[in-house]
Amino acid sequence: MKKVRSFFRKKDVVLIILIFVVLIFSILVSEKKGSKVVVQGKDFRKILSKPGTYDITENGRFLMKVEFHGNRVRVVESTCPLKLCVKTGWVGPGGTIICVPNEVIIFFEEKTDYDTVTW
Amino acid sequence: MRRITFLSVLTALSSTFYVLENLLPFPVPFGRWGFSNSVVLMIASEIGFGDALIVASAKSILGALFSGRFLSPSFLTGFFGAVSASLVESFLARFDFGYLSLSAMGSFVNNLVQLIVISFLVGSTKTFLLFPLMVILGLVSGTVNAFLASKMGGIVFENYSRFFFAQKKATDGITGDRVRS
Repeated sequence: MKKVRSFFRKKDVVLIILIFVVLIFSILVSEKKGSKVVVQGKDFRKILSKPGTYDITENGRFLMKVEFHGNRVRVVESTCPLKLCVKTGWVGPGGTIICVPNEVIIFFEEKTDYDTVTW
Repeated sequence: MRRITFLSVLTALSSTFYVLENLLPFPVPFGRWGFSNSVVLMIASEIGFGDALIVASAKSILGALFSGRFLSPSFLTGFFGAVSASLVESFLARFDFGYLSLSAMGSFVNNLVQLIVISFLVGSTKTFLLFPLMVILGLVSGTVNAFLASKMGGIVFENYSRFFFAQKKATDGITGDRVRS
């Protein structure tokens, strides 16, 4: 009588480890693929693509200092009274920081061409 | 003739899974169970390349016809995914791998091909952001399918194999011996 293939063999570990390596690699690649942060003010628009600390000025007037760290962003200091934007802390992709007195919105630029995908 | 009967029974089983699994929710919104692939996996592992290809394409087309999604994007992704997964599984089945890694590689290739087809349909490569999520979900459902397929292979090819492959008449032995092998 024909013997059926067994559910698990020792060789399986190799292939499954291979899949996990590809998985971790793809996660690392997709994390590093730099997302851009847009600082949108009343009459300026600044796009941050490299990590670092940036001073945001509007018409020569200092507004805030923004720290961008690859895939997260925060406001270090600001001139607004309540400091809500500073208290927001680190924000990842998809999040936004809004500073109402300075009229500044900080958000990640991640445009996709589709709403949902079904299969 | 016996081969055609056998393949059509398995195709019917697989496309029934394809339709009925829509009733069974997956814990995570994006995923699907893909129970129909376990039948294809079993055939690719136990019989071979050509039969797996036939059943994979037939169950995609029939299942899509039954669930009213023929030639829609989800049909195209499912069709190409199932066909490529059956190719990879039947290729790997020539070596001494177990069901678990066959199913895992099958679901991996299935997801990869689905993403390629989706990115052709949508016209952007941004869809590959979904790749890690799909691979993790594919590993979960692939393990379940490997378990199903190994049980199914045991039922079809070991215990009840006389039901399909008997050369003698079933009444030769003791009465009731037909299915006990």
